[in-house]
Amino acid sequence: MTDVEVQVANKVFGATPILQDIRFTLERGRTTALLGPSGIGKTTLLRIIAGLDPQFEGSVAVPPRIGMVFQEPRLLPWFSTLRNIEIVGTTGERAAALLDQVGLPAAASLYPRQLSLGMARRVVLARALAIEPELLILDEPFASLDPTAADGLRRLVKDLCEQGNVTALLVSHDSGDVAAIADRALILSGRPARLMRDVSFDVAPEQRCAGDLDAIASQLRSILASANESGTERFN
Amino acid sequence: MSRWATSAISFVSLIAIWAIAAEAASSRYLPGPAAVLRVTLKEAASGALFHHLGITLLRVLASFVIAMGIGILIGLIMGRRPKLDRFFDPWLILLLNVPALVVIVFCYLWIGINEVAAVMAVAINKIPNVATTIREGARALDPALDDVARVYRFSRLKRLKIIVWPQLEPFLAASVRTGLALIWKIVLVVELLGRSNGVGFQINLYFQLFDMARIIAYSLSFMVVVMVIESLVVKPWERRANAWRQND
Repeated sequence: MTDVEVQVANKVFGATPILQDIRFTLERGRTTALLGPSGIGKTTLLRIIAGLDPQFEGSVAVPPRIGMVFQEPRLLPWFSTLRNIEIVGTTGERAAALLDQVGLPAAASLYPRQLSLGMARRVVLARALAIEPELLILDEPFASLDPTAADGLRRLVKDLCEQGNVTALLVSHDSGDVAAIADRALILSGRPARLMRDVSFDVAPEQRCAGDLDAIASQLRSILASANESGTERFN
Repeated sequence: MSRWATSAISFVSLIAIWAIAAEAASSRYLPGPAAVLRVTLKEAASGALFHHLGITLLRVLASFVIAMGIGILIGLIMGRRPKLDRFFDPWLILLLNVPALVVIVFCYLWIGINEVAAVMAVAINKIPNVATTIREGARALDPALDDVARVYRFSRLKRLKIIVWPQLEPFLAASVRTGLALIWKIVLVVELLGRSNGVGFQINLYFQLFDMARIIAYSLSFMVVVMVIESLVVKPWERRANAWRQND
């Protein structure tokens, strides 16, 4: 069942074309990774899908409830952690339960400035879950975290995606992360960016053995390497 | 030594220096603290002190409300609309540099020697300061936080209340504090030049009578009123508005 339909014919910043002819659909309950060289416009595409950037040619059909984990956490610094979750429209009890779920039961009364980046991302994930999202958008959720924090968050996101209640779209640089979590990978390349590859993986993430993970990761790495090359060519 | 003790000792030594200087000068132009306290109590007992304090305070309040209202509006518009900002910025700079006295004279000449002119003169002096501070606040609004409001579909009102207001509140509190400090000083000049009551009028009256004790009595009484308002209302609000920024 299709849950998200994206058709971006054209997206420009000023006179510079950024995205061109990017069309795909996301199926309900599945986890899709969006990959591509840095600076290619992945975040721009996410913003378009989330409805944050209406200035593009094309159309986007998304479910009404979208949860978003931004690259920089974007918590409201004047509210406590708990209040930051409540504000999207949930009760204090449920907000506390969500904090528990993301592994921060003791952080309810802390303020954003008192949180590490890893903790802040967890709170942002809890905030995104608070609206019971039909679509969950994650923009590099594991970037710039220390390995332990990244691992913890990776497990959380993996569990969430495996439950299958949410359609997830994940931007990542790390093919290992994608191999561990995603059902499918979309790879952008070129300038302006187009959809270069659309790869679905045969084995479901929870059933992948170490060999499957390695195979997927190395497949992605080689696709990304060629995406990088073609990107550079066009850029020059 | 605690901060309170330091402040108390500092205050007492100031009074002591004043008393000693008055004693040494033994002049009618430098009455000591005791003499000033005596006439203050006398003025209070007759009701004159409270009458004039009250009138001046009302003028402060009226000008303050007008200046904040108009200043906030101008500041928000200029902060959010770069084209208007560029156009009106020179006007704002000009207004910021018009001496208070000039504005007062213009108002009295154009509007007449009346209450409206008095209140407007004070308000106009303050509007550019409020506008400048609020403009800074409006410029500093973080668009990244607006994204949160949009993704989670906050209503306009909710967005104003939990995203915009907390960002503007410290700027508002700052302009309220500096506003109060500026306005009460200008109100006295306005009263001196064109009103027949209020603390400024009384100071002018006793200036002509060379009654230094009463001049000090009225000035100090009003200063105390303003300082009480500032420390009991404005400062605590400003502290609260900035609380989330501070490290604990």
